[in-house]
Amino acid sequence: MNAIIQYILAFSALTIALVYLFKTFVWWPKKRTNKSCGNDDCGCH
Amino acid sequence: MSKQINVALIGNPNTGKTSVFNALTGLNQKVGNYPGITVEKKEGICKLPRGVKAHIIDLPGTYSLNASSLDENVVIELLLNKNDKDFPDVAVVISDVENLKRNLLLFTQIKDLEIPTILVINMSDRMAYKGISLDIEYLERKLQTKIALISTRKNKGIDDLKELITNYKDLSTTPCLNASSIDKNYFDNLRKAFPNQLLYKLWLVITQDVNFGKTNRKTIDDVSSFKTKSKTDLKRLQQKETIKRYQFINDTLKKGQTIDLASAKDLRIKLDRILTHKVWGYLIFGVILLTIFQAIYDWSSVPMDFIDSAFASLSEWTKSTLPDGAFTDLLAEGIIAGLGGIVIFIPQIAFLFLFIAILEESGYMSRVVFLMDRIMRRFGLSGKSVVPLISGTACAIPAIMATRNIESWKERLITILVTPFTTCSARLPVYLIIISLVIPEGRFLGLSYQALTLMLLYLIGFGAAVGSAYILNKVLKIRSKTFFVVEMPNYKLPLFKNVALTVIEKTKAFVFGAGKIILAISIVLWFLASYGPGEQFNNAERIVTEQYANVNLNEEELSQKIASHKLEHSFIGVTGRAIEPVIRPLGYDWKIGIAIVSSFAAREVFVGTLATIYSVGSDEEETIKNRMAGEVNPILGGPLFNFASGISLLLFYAFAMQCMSTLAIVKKETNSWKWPMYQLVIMSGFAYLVALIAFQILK
Amino acid sequence: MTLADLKRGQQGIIKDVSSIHIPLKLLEMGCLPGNLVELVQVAPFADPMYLNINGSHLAIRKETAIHILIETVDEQAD
Ligand SMILES: Nc1nc2c(ncn2[C@@H]2O[C@H](COP(=O)(O)OP(=O)(O)OP(=O)(O)O)[C@@H](O)[C@H]2O)c(=O)[nH]1
Ligand SMILES: [Mg+2]
Repeated sequence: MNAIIQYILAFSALTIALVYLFKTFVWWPKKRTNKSCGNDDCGCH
Repeated sequence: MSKQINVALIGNPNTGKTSVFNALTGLNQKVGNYPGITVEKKEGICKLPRGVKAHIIDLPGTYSLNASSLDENVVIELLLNKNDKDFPDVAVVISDVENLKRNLLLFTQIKDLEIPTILVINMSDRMAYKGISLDIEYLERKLQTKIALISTRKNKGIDDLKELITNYKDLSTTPCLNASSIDKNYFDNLRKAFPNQLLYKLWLVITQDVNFGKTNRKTIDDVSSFKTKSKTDLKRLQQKETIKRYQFINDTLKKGQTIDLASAKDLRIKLDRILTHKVWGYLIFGVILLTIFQAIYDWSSVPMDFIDSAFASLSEWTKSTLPDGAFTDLLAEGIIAGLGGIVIFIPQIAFLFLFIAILEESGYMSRVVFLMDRIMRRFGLSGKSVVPLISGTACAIPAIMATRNIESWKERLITILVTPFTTCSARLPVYLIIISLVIPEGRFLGLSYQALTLMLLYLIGFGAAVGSAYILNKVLKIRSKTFFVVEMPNYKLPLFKNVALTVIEKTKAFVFGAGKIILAISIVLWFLASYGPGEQFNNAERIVTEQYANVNLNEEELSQKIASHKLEHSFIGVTGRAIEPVIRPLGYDWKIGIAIVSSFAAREVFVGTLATIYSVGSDEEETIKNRMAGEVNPILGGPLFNFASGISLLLFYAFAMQCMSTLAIVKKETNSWKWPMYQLVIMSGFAYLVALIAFQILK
Repeated sequence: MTLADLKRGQQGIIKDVSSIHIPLKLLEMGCLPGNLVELVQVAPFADPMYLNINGSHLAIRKETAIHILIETVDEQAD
């Protein structure tokens, strides 16, 4: 039982991570060019 | 709901527009004692008396309505386009009491546009110091405006300004002088040709001179057909216009302003005598840089070690406290190890930002521009390129945006292209950890070898930037005229609040911006490292046990062997070993290879990646540094991170273009994918080559 | 003589700035006929030059300075 919960948690973390990475690195060129981005280092790291 | 009042903050560079903006809106936009800190429009909301709200727009500084660089152009585009949603209901012209005469030029031009205008005279705290006194009533009458005498440093007069904005409908829109008298005939004709247009606006559109970038001015009516005068004639007229405006301003100030020179003090002259001196100036600049690197090393080694071991114990604790299972492992080996790889660098990054903020706030930056212009020009850059190159040590993105105040497109393009060579804060983690592994600890003249190596790496970065600028200058066939006029602002004691805010904001951006990416990558890497395809991974235990059947291994050694065998045959191990042939000649193993690949997202992912991979591949919880020191080169034997491979890695990171965000900003600023792609291929190719040569020579 | 001939610490009065090689921006920053100009500091090879024009402090390159005609002020002031 415990192991199953652990698996569910772990894989949901993976899903979130993958979605986040996809959104930042595959989706963003379109989105971020419009957004004004000044001295606040928008996504610079 | 009533409409918000649109308020535009306009003024010469460095007069305190952003400081006023922050005071009105409560936001924390960046302020600095260098002309050209703000390079694009910023917006905020201000609550005015009696429930009115104002939409405040902070703009880049401009000396006049004749734009000569891209940042100044933002202001002109806004003021000439009545249909812009941000077109101001009221223009607030911010001036600096010490430079009132120069600041009023822009004011008179804006008055000619017949927009309700308030004149803010900022830095009133400096009046006594400079022996200045003003006859506000007289000035208000002469300039047909309302004046707010304020000091954002002392927080004085802000309420008066809010009151004036609230009552903007009472402001006069009459111009304070008649500029069209410089050439009556010409202007009469112009008026006849476009009877519905504001005369001064037409004149501005006709005379705009675009040489700083590729702009499209669709927003402005096309009157190019009316260029009945030659370029030189137009320029003559503009000169006449400027002279006429200054005559008016001089007349006004003669009565409205008194300066008691006897009581004026000036620190500037004394300081500049040394700081911009032919010899001392350069020497002091060098000493300042050295101090910064030494400080980054000395002051932050203690907190760094502390954080490193704290994360190791946290990981240990997690494993022993939480119930066994996939998620606990992910937490301990993936997330905590990966995060440790970023948090450990907070002290250094904060120090770096602190120094940059102090350089910017004190006014020293402009002195560096002055000292470096001549040298930079040889390489096809401008003195103004120094600012992006220096602030690029924090991050290339704001640095590339800062090039917007370079007047010549060619110099600007070259600066954009070479800025990513400067050692940005994302490289710092990689440098620090590798230097601490491969460079011995001794000292030379009080400076540690490690700090000197770090400084050398920064110099290599600058050198690469300047050297490639030289080549680009020869190769690029762009003709654009160059000129160089920079204001030298007065020295200011850095305001603690401004410096602290910059440091906190930037460090936060570093930790959270990078943190999120590192966290996500660590999680993915952990999965790829903990699961694998096929026989070798699934039956690792049996295979390893059989393999070592004859060797006497204790329990611990055996489980260590199993763990590393699993890692080798996990998804990441398989991928890593597939790319290994490419990086083996540089002295790296497949784990470093994976770290390099993942750091194409952002450089600082490198350490976190290694931390995660090593952590999965071993049982014990250790500090990142000790783990890296313990790695053995699979082929040559001996430590993996030795002098040869260490130098090779340092050089690879010095030159490679590994930052997606930078590529995106270059695309945005140059309007084409061509330049960022060149950067990616050429820089990374060069990095590979240099790292290869370095390793082959040193090994 | 031109601005480029000034020595460090010397002052002059600007006479003529009508050359097309002088950017408008410089005029807008106060470099106009009749104004007092002082050479505050020079970088190596006298380029760029750090000027004080009527209280406005700015730096320009020598290539611009040679187009600005000036007249020296007699030393009587001091
Ligand atoms: N003494 C004094 N200094 C001030 C005051 N307001 C602003 N400053 C300083 O003036 C400098 C310029 O301020 P900013 O607000 O960045 O000026 P800006 O007009 O936005 O500058 P750009 O964006 O570069 O055009 C900073 O060093 C401020 O700390 C004031 O009231 N008194
Ligand atoms: Mg600003």
